[in-house]
Amino acid sequence: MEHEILNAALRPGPDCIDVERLGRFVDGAVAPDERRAIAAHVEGCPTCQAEISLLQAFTEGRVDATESAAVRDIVAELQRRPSPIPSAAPEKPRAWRGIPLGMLRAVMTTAAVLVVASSVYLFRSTAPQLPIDIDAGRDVTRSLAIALISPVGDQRSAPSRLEWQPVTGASRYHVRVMEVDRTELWSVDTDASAVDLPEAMRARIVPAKTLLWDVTAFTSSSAVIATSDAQRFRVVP
Amino acid sequence: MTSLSDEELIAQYRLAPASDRSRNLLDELFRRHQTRVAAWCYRLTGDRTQAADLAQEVFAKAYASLDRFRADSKFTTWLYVIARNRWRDELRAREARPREAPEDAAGDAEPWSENAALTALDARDARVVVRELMSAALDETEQRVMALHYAHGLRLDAITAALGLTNQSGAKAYIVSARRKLKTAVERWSTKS
Repeated sequence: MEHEILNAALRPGPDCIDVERLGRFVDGAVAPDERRAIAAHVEGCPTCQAEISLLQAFTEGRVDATESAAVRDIVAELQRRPSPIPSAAPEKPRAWRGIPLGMLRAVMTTAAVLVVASSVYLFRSTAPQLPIDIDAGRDVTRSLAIALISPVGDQRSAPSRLEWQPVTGASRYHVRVMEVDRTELWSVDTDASAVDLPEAMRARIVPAKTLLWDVTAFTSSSAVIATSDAQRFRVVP
Repeated sequence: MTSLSDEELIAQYRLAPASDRSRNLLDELFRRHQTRVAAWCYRLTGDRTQAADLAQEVFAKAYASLDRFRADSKFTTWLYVIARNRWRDELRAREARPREAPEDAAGDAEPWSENAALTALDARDARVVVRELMSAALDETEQRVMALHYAHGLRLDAITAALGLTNQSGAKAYIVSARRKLKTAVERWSTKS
């Protein structure tokens, strides 16, 4: 009875902060308004305080003396077991892997027939007539994602350089460094896929403060060709 | 490779996920966190084999979900969320099974839950009252220990380790003390109401 009453009183309620938001809160990766709202709830909620304690115990990686022998054994056991990472081509399972073999054969057969049919058509057909009013000068753009390489996540010191994967067809990149509420701190345009941070900007990267950065790629006619997600980084205190 | 942050390892892995180098990047990433995940799983389960099974599931889930990591929190935090959700599933499965005898945390405190005024309340009001009484009567560590034990389903020695409690009886002492204080608080509240 008592266990049930305490469980009902202490289990997460509808106003409790879900664990992902609590994690961002602990990481300092929420905007000031959201931070204040979460802090106000956590202050009066033992359940969320307990969740934060668990998170901190996990992130600190503390191993009690009474646990260390068991933990060593478990790590050794994990290393003996097959890795979750596939050895040859670590591609994620694709939808076709769930298709029955018979259906897969039918699909492959149909594809083969189409290839043969289209080859015959190509050999027999003459060059297609192109419309004469194509606007050859207009850029054709696709939405691409730019992979940000560094800095990402926790850093030992203030980064001096931002680096990302170049995008084919991009002639200019717009780079921004922001607060977590997206207030812009610094930005620059460059044609390279890396840029050095000026000293004035580096001075604003203080320990424990989470910042974001993102990149937008433009074509020579200033059309957006690709964008990145905002990446967070922080210098560990 | 070891100088890269967790998030940088993932960013570089994503540049060419099918390469040997990428596999090495992920090996390094998971290797860094094996001890942390193993310790956490052992605390929760109290059993080496179950902990190894749980840890393996956590890493398998992390690999399968890696595309969804957006670096808006630390990788360690993201991994915690996976481990936490996996443990929540495990707790639900345990609740569905025939109930095991609850761990004896009662110590020498008398039961307070039979209080007539408290049992007369509906569940929602009882939750509010018990929370208010706990807030007024218990200190921060006592509240946290109670929440970890009764809401998060942690064993007492796991709480002792997770909170780094250094007193001789660890979490049990806090629970006994908290229950005694709570009993007094419930009695006072029922006299007033």
